This record gives sequence, C-alpha cells and structure tokens, in this order.
Amino acid sequence: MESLIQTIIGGLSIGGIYGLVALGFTIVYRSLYVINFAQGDVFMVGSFLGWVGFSLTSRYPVPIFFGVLVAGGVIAFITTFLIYKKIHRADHLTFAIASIGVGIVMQNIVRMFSPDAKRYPDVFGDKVLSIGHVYISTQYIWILGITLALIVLLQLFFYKTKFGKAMRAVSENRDMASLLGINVPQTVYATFVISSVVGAVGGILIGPIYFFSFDMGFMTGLKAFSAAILGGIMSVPGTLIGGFILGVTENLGGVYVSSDYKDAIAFGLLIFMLMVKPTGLFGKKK
Amino acid sequence: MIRKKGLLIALVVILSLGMAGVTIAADPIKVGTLMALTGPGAAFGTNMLFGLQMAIDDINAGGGLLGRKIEIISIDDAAQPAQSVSAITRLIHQDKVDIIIGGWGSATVLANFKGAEKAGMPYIECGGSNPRVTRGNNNQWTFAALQNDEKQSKVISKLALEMGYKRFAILHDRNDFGVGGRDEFSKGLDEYGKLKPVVIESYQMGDKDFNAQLIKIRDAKPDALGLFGTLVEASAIAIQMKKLGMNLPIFSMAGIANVNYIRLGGEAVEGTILASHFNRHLSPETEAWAKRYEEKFKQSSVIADPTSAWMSYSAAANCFPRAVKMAGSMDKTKIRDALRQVKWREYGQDIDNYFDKEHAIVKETIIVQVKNGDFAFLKKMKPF
Amino acid sequence: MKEGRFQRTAVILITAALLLSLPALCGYYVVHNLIFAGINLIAVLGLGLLIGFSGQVSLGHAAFYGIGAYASALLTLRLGLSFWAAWPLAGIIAGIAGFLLAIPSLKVAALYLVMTTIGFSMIVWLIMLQWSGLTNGPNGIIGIPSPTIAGFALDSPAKYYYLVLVFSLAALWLMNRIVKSSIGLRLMAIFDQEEAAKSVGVNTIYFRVLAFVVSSIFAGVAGSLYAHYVTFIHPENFDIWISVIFLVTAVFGGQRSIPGITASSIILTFATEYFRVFGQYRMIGYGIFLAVCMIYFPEGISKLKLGPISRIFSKPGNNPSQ
Repeated sequence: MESLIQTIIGGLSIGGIYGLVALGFTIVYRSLYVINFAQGDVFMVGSFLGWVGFSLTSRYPVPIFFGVLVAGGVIAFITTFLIYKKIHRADHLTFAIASIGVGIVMQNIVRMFSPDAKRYPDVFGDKVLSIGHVYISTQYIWILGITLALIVLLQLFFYKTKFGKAMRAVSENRDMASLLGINVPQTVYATFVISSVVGAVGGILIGPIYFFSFDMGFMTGLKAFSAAILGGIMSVPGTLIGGFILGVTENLGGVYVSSDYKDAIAFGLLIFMLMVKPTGLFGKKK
Repeated sequence: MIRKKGLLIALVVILSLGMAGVTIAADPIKVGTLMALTGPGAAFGTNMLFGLQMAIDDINAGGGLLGRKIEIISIDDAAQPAQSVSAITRLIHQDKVDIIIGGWGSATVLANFKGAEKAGMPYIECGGSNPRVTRGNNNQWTFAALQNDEKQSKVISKLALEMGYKRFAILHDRNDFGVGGRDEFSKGLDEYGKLKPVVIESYQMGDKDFNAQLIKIRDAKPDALGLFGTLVEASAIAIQMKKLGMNLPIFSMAGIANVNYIRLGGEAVEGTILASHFNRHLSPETEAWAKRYEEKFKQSSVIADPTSAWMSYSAAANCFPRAVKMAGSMDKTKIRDALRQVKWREYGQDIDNYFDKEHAIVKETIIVQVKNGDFAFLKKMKPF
Repeated sequence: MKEGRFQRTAVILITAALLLSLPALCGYYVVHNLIFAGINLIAVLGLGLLIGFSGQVSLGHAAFYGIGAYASALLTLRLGLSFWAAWPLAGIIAGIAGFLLAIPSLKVAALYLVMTTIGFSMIVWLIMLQWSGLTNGPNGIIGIPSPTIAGFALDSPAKYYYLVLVFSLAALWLMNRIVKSSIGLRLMAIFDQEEAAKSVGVNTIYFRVLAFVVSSIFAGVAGSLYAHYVTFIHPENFDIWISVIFLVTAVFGGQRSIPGITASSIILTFATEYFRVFGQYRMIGYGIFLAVCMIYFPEGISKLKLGPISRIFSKPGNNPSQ
C-alpha cells in the first residue's frame, strides 16, 4: 500500500512538470494554431539559466528565480522577432520544421557552454518528510505549489485582464480582432514569451530533482505534448490535469506493469487520445 | 601531335616526382581517433581526446617516433554507431592514417571495429568495454585496451561477496553496457557465491525518474545494489534512492568512474565501490600525472577527468611507442605483430600489461571507493 | 523535334556513363557517401509521396526504415534467406506496418498527425530496444551478410554502389510512374480539394492508406539496403532524429518534386558528412538553416531552375512538380 502511495506521489510531481511544459504548447496552440516543437528546448534553456543563476549564489533564490524568467522571456522575444513572427501564419508543417530548427540551435548553443550534466544546489531544501515508509521530498511540494499557483495566475490573466482577453480574441478571429483595434503582433510576441516563461519555470523546478543536461528537452517535450493532448490542448487547467494523469499513469505502469515499456505508455495514450477524442478529456470542441 | 605527347610525358614525370617528393619528406605519422565529442558521451570522449593529445605532445616533445612527428586527426562520432562507421571509413580511406587509437562507447566500437578489420588498420580501442569486441571474433587488427565488462563484473561480484552481501539487486541501463554488466555480474554471483539476484530492474538512458524501479527494488529487500549504466542516470539513481529512504551500498564498474559521478551525486554516492582502470592515489607517479593532466586542460569547458583520459594516454604513450620501436617502421602488419607481443607497465601497477590471444588487455583491476568527494583507492585485484 | 530528342539522348548517355564510372573516378569516401545518398533518396521519395501528394506529414518514417532494416537482417541471419528474397519481404513487412499507422491517421486531424507518427515511431523504437528475443535489443545485430550475385559478394563500397544505383534508378522510375498515374492525380486531388474529390467519388480513405503503405514500402526497402551495407544495426540508428532528417530532406527538395528530392538527398547527405569537422557548430548551422529555409524557401529547392535534369523527368505539358 505504501509503495502505491509512493508511486502516486512521484507521478504527481513529474506530472506537474509535464503540465508546466505542456502549458507552453497549449498557450501557443490556442492563440496561433501551431505546434512549437522548440517548447521542450525552451524548458531546457530555463533549467540551464536557473543553474547558472543558482551556481553564482544560492542565497537569493527568489530574485534569481525571477531573473531567469525575465531572461527566458527575453530569449523568447528575440526568437519571435527573428523567426516566429515571420512564419506563424504559414502552414503548420513550415512552422513545425522551423521550430525544430530553433530547438536544435538552442540545444547546441547550450551544449557549447555545458556539455556535461549539471547538478542544481538544493534551492528548495533537501529535507525529506516521511510518513511511515512514504517519503515526500520538499521539492515535490514546491513543484505542486508553484504549478497550481501558475494555473491560477494564467486563468486570471486570460479571463480577467484586458491583454489576456485581447489574446483570446485574436485566437478566436484574428482579422476581427485587428479591426477592433487590438495590436495583433503584440499578442504574437506575448504568446511566445508567456509560453517560454512557463516552460522555464518547469525547467527550474525540475533541476534539483533530475539535474540539468542539454538534451533533457526532447523526451520531456514529447511527453508534455502527450499530456496536453490528453487533458485538452485548448484548456489551461485541462492541460495541467493531463500532465498529472500522465505522470501518475506512467509511474503506476512502470511499477505494476513493466518498467521496460514505461515510456510507451505516454505515446500509446497520445495515439489513443488523438484518435478517440483529440480535444482531450477536458477540452471543448472547437 | 608531338607537342601533346611531350606535354603528357612532362606531366607524368612531374606527377611522379611530386608523389615521390611526398614520400621523401619526413611527413608526420598520422594517428586517427574517433569518439564522442558531442552528445551524451562528450564528457568521456573529450577527456579521451585530451589524454591522447597529452600523450602525443609528450612523444613529440621527446623527438617523435622514428624521427617523425606525430599528428592527430580526430573525428566526432557522437557515440552513434552509424556515424562512427562513417567516421572510421573516413579516417582509413580519406585521411589514410597509420593507426587508430580511440573509440568510445560499446555500441559504437562494436560497429566501427569491423571497418578496421576489413581494411587492415591497426586499431587500439580505448572506450568500448563490451567483451564482444574481442570475444570469438578472431580479430586481426583490433586491440581492446580497455579491460572489458566481463572481467570487471567478475571482479566486483567477487569483491561484493567477499564483503558479505547476500541479497543483490541489479539496476541496469538497457544499452550494451548495462546489459553486459547485468549478465556478467549475475554470472559472477553464481560462479563465486551460488547466488542469484533478488530483483533485476532496468531503465533507459535519458530517463530522469527512477521511482518505479526503485520502489520495486525496495520491496524486494536487498542488502546491496549492482548498478550498471552511465553517468548521469547513475548519480540520479543514487540521489533518488536516498530520497526514498534506501541506504544500499552500490557496486559498479568503470563506466561511472568519472568525477562527474561524484559531482552530480554529491553525498548520495559516498561509499560506492567501483572496478576501475586508474586511480590517482595509486602511487606518486599517478598523482603527478593526474595533476599535470588537470593543469594542462583546465581551460576546457569540459571538466578534466584523469580517469577517463588515462586509457587513451596509456595506449598512446606506453603501448604505441613500444610497438613502433619493436616494429621499426609504420608498416601496418609489423605494427600489428608488435602489438601482439608488446608489454608495458603502467604507473602503480604490479604486473605488466599486454594483449592476450584475443587481443583483449590483461591488467590489474583497480578497485576504488567514493570517499569524501573523491575516488579513494581500495585495492588492486590481479586477473584471475 | 529531332534535335530535342538527340539532346535528350546525349544527356542521358553522358549521365549514365558518369554514374557508372563514379567509383573509379572518386575516392572511397565519396562512394561511401553516394551509397547513403542513394539509400536516403529511396526513403525520402516515399516520404515525398506521403507529404507532398497526400498531405500527410509524418515524423515516423524512420520506424519503417528501421523495420525494413531489422526484417531484412533477421530474415537473412535467422532464416537463412538470401538478400534477394529478403529485401522484398522487408518492404512488404514495412508496408504492413505502414498500414497499421495509416489506421489511426485516418481519424486524426492533419496537425495532430505529426504527433501520432512520432508516438508510433517511439513505440516501434522501444520495441526494437526491448524485445531482445527478436531484435537482440540494445546490442544490435552484427554480421549482416552482404548480398551476393552468383557467388560474388558485394562487400565493398565500389561494388555496393552499383546495387544502390540500380535500386535508386528503379525507385525514381517507379515513383515517377506512380505520381503521373491516376493514383498520383487522385492523391493530389484529395490533398488539394478533399471535399471536391469526395464528391466525384474518389475513395479518399483508400488512397490515403495507399499512400502510407507505398511510402513505407519504399522506406523498408531502403532500410534493407542500409542493413546489408553497414552490416551492423542498432535501435539508435532509427530514432526520431532520422525521421527529422528524412523530413528535412523531403521539404528541402520540395515535397512534390522528384528532381528536387533527388538533389536534396545528395546535397544533404554530403553536407552532413563533410560538415562534421565543424563539430557542434555544424548542428547550430543545421538548425539555423532549417529555420531560415522555412522562412524564405518554404517550397524547398524545387523552385530553382533545374533545367535539363528536370526535363528528363517530365514530358512536356504534364509535370505536376511545376
């Protein structure tokens, strides 16, 4: 029984990470109807910047945290300026390939600086609480907390702020929004900046648990996408729940079915969902 | 008509003079090397290249070999078998090197050594520890300078049994290296202790989350863990084990005998016992060499790791020059024959190293243990 | 008219002579790369059919390539079949796998198809890695036999080159015929105007599945050629990045253009090898190239004037690639 609970807890924490990265996919897709294949690498860049920051000093975690987010936003801004703004209206294949290219560039630039995996200092504390034989690391609690807080913030942003509503308007009908005086290019920038910042948060949170390495983006990105599809790529809370479901299912499958094919669970679920209900468990039909 | 013929003859003469000229001049000896300089193996591969460079610099500083300087031609194969086959093809047929010293990664070496065999190129591989590189192949040109997994797992299993452990868990990477470690370690447990592992779990390189496997291992109540995989995952496993309240002693092999294991694992990896190829504390000479190596390459963005560099250094500085002297020339067949006979002593070892009939190296195994953030020397075990 | 035909024949003969004598003219390394270029060409032609003509974007092509390679390797090693029996079977097995992937693809919207194919590709890769009983798992398969013709083994690049040359030319010819045939026309109709096509009675499901099957057969045969050349295969050789490379090659060539794909396969195969010296910068350059190419040349190089080469492939007035 305790092993079961342990498994679920582990699943929830990795699921939170999947959810955060998946949010990046969701935000971009909702607004622009394209899939940003570089999302996983954005997550990785966030993790890298976090490592850089925390290696300089572990005494000011909060400013460094926000510093990384700002840096992530700036990088997203530059990437959008150079590349994304020119092709976000192109057909999905064109954007997909271009974003794959962006991802490759990010990966290899980071690799130049850090070909090795790097350990994060334990910025979220290294205490492990134990209830019987169930061990809960304080990092898991931070992941859960920050993820949920982000969801609330994002929902508030999209539904209660003027700019957020403007972004939603653009996604509904771009030309109409433009006619109404909404600055569409601005929303394009905002889309990529926000999605990158969210991904970067995921990268920082995962650092202390799983290290940073320049190639960590790929698998996580794929699984995050599965999570987004699972929960509903058009729905912010849905995506996050999709992440939790994926994380827990993966872990349960890994322990009780087979750890060899654990990864296949994510992909199998993905294919199944795409066939049966592509709008996801919590998605609304478009 | 006559003019054309004359021109043609002149051209031929000039060409052949040119060719002859090429061979008369003291052109450098070309040592080819290939390893992962990018990709997950880059930490090992880069150090392997540095070790080779240091050895060649040492030799060149001493006047070179046979009156010629030595030049290194290196190609990155990202430890990908397909790329490695292309890389070795290029070294052999395009760059036309005299010998190849290098190669990192079991799957990679298993793929690329065929190229050397087919082409008749002496190849001292320093980074593929899978026994299948030499076992049963009747190699004519490939020499394994790295003690293979079979020998190392046997040694480490014997040691673990001597230390009194009885219930072994095995956690291994699903690649060649991990599977080989699992098989040979199990064989060793059976042969020397008539024991079977109580639980065997596996993972994929690139995995970050080992909770599932570790929970299953915890449920089986082992008293020691045989861990066979590569760097990053091994450290993560050690950390996650501690987070699950598991305090198992860890036994492993040279695949993780790299400073990054300690750097990444921190306190969680203290006490790990490893079969390795080298340890700086073995003798004053090894300490001096390690210092010199770290000093030479401290500017690199990759962390200088003497253990990873030693294999290629030793092959290039100890084995290779002796073989060349014995052969008296760079003729490949003569070099190969010399390699079959040459013996050399590495710093701090009690017996000579040499290649056995299957071209696998015979040497002592250096057992190390992680203590206070460093690899402490535990003991040496002679081949058995 | 007569002159045109004379010119055409001359070009064909010169090209043929050149192609046949390449191994003698070029070094080992160049021939080695030409072989890979040819193998890639066959695989990418299949992908081009799928993407360019039926509009189904797939990042799973490496899976079929790998299935073909493993099938061919296992058939020759375990069942003792000769290469000449193995390669068609490998193609068929890959085709069956293609059929399996086609099924979910029918129900999935175009944008999501990419992810479906990725998922499929990862599952195939996992099976290659885990099902050790069949595939020898992470150890890969060593010692795949070279093809033999009347006892004469094709075990050197120069000899293998001719084999790949024959297969490449056959693949080009075959794909050309498919594309020009009613199948090709119908596929394009479906791609361009699906509803209209349905209304004139074109069975869209049949043709979409057919596109998948044909493209995976091409990939499977390419995989077989690969396996018997390198004689060692490993699941790593068939991961998602290979699919990305196939996709990029197809797009760079302009998915619908056979001459474009041909040029693209050759150029990219050589570029990847020769830029290896630049190490990490190579990959950065590659990524930048992808992004920039998509911005400025989304149609790939098919829009460049390829002159006489494309004239060989087309009869006047009936060229879908223009």
